[in-house]
Amino acid sequence: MPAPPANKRVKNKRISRNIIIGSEAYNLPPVGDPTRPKGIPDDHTKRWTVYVRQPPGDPDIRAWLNKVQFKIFNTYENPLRTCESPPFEVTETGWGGFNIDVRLHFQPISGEKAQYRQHFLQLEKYGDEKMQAMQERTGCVRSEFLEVVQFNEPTEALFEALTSESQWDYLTAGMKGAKKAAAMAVGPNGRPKRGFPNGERTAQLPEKGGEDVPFSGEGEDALIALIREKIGVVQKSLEEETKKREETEKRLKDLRAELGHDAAQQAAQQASGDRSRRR
Amino acid sequence: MATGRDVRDIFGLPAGSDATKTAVPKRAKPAAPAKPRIQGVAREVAALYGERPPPVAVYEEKKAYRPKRNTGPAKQWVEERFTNQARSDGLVLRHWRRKDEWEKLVAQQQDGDISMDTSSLEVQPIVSRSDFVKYNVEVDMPTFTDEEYDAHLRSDDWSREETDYLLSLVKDYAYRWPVIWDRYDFQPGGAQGPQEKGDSNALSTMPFAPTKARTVEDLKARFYDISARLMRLRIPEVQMDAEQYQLYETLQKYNPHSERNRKELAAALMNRSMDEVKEEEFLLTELQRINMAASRLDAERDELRARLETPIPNPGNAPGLQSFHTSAGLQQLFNQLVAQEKNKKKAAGPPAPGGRLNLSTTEAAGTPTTNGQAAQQLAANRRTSMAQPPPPTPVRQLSPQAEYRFNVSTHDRLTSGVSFGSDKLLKMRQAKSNVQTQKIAAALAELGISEIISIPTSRVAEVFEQLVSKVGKLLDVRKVREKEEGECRVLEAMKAQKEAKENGMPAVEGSGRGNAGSAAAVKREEVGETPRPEEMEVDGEGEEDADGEADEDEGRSKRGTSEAVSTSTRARKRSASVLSQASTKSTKRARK
Repeated sequence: MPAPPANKRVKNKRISRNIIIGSEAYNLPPVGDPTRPKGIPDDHTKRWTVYVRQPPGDPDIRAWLNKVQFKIFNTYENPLRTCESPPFEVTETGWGGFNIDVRLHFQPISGEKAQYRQHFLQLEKYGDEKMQAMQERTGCVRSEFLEVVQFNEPTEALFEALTSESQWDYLTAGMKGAKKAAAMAVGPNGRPKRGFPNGERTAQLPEKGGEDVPFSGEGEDALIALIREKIGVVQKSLEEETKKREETEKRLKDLRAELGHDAAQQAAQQASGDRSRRR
Repeated sequence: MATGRDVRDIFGLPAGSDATKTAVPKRAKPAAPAKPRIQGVAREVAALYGERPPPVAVYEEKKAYRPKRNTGPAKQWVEERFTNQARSDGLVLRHWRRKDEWEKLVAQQQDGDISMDTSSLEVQPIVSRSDFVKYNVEVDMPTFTDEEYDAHLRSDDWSREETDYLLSLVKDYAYRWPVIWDRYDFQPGGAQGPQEKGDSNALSTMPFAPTKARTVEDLKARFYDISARLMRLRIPEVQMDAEQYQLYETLQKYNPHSERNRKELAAALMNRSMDEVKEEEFLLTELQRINMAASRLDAERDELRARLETPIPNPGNAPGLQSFHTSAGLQQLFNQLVAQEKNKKKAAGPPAPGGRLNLSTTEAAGTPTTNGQAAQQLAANRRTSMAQPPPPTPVRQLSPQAEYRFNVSTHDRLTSGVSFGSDKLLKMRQAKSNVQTQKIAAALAELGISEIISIPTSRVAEVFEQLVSKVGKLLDVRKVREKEEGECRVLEAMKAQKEAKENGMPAVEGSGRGNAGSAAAVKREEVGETPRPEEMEVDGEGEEDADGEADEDEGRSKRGTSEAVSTSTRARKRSASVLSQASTKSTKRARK
């Protein structure tokens, strides 16, 4: 029997969407400071936000994402926080990091079940010296990761939704006249802003990286180049290893020929037998 | 809680309008008193006071020493006699007025003929003043003639006299219903004089039913009823404009019972105890909570239903031919048709030569274009045979440019569902065995590749896969090399031993640690002795990589055990389950 038409999926197609899952943490003023907000327990030292976003200029995340649930540490009041509409984020104060379960609920048209992602709430400085210095300077510890959500064989409805031009409507919605014109104006890098009529509108990563664009095509290329370089390193040591192995093999052959078959068997057994005895 | 809306509702005020106050003129609200400004201090200093006035009054020095106003000699005043134009009884009252003003008025009213003795009151002319006319407000009253009353306004409950009395009160007190009700004291028989009041209870003085205690509602009901009837008499309903009709409706709809209930409710609301108020609040919040929970549950159920049920079939989207574009799809269709054909043959005896089966075989194997046609034809056959028309097929083809923009990619084998890029990268790190996985992780760490790849796109994944496979290959080669090295060492040790035997000399302990150690181990084994752990360790690096390859090694060692009877004791001591069979076999053989 053919599947009912509504559950029909577009075969052999995959639609990918980039999202950013991350967290930001700021220091709170110390206890007794007048600028410290009221009603925060004394042992809390950070204010943090965990969020699910899309790279700016990407197609509307709402096309496929229905809601996001953040499962934060269970000592917080109401530890399962639900965000039904953007911004998908939770802001709290605290003193320690923990793993946050991020549950992505997809739009009903996708027919998909909710999916879990995990994010570690990074409150202390991390990374290499340069990153730490930067975090010291801005007072903001940010830890975010790009995630590629792949809809394999999406339903017809989802396919339709994710390939429609109206996905970018949210960018210009609510803007009129001058404001719209201002938004459409050239972006900071001297190129038309991404996602606006003159800029390129695409679900791919933005080409150029920048201070406010942590994930970009450039970064991707750099990463690929890095991995390629490492492949070269591995290739080199592989060749060395192969040469060594050939030498050893030769030596072994000689020894076997010299000592005869029985001895060779015994040696082989011993070399491996000792190993298996370790279990 | 009683909100302003509730109060309005209870008092019967239609939201926003004031239709019940029919004729009472609205009094202008006095404007909020302006905040007194502090004088005599600099603006900047005044600003420092802020919201509250300063604790000490600020006196303006200027004011205290201001020169007195010099307005000349004192003005003269006259005690004027006047009649109020609003009064009809010509009552003469007196009040004080400025003399000049008074003279002007007198001159005006008596044509300049002022008999000039202003000191004596008696000869003073009486002036008529219109100043107070504005306070004599006449209210609009419904009026009717006797005929009209008889024809339309008769009531069983109200006598003509009482009705007139009511109307006069309404007129006197200008629709102030509480006052009217307070003063309402109708004495039947027109006897309203105080001398007869004492007898009013006596039956003989009452031509009508005894006086009824009228409530405000009764009074209003009667009055509004009369007003409404008269209004309709004067202006037929169809000719009323919107405002009039609204007024007419309000008048007509007046219901004394509901009014009474409303007031009782209001009183009850006002007289609630604190506990009751609290309980009500609690119940209301509870209700709100329940409602919210219910709506949320409903929404969740709807979503679930939408997901479970078959949503609205979208004929425009269903791909019919899509499944026949691949060879697998065509093959399946072909098989299906063959099966059908067979069934038909069974039913209808021997087949006609050159049946459709042959035709479809050739066509299915044809060129792609004919393939498409064949598919269409087959689809048509299917339609008739299965009585289920496949929906029309929009081709889900996007231009490569659009595919790039919408991040759509085509893959041969896909399991439908959602997957994540980072999961894929993580999976690549996993080898078949735990040890191998750890080794790969160690190798990657050595290369300086962090555990989480920050941009898990498919392009990165491709390259990363290459890297991981290279690393895997490297590890494999290294493993083989190390194993062979181990074998070499053993063989060398045996060689050394042999040489030593040949020379008739005992093996020299400690001459080259590794070789000698393993040689000793070999020696012990030949005697059937289990080597002690410290000796096993001497074997060195050769055995460090282990379990991953253990399986293939064991294959070899099986052979080894069965052949070398001398090691059977050792084999029995092995706990590895794979080996247990082999070892029992070998021990049996050993017993034989």
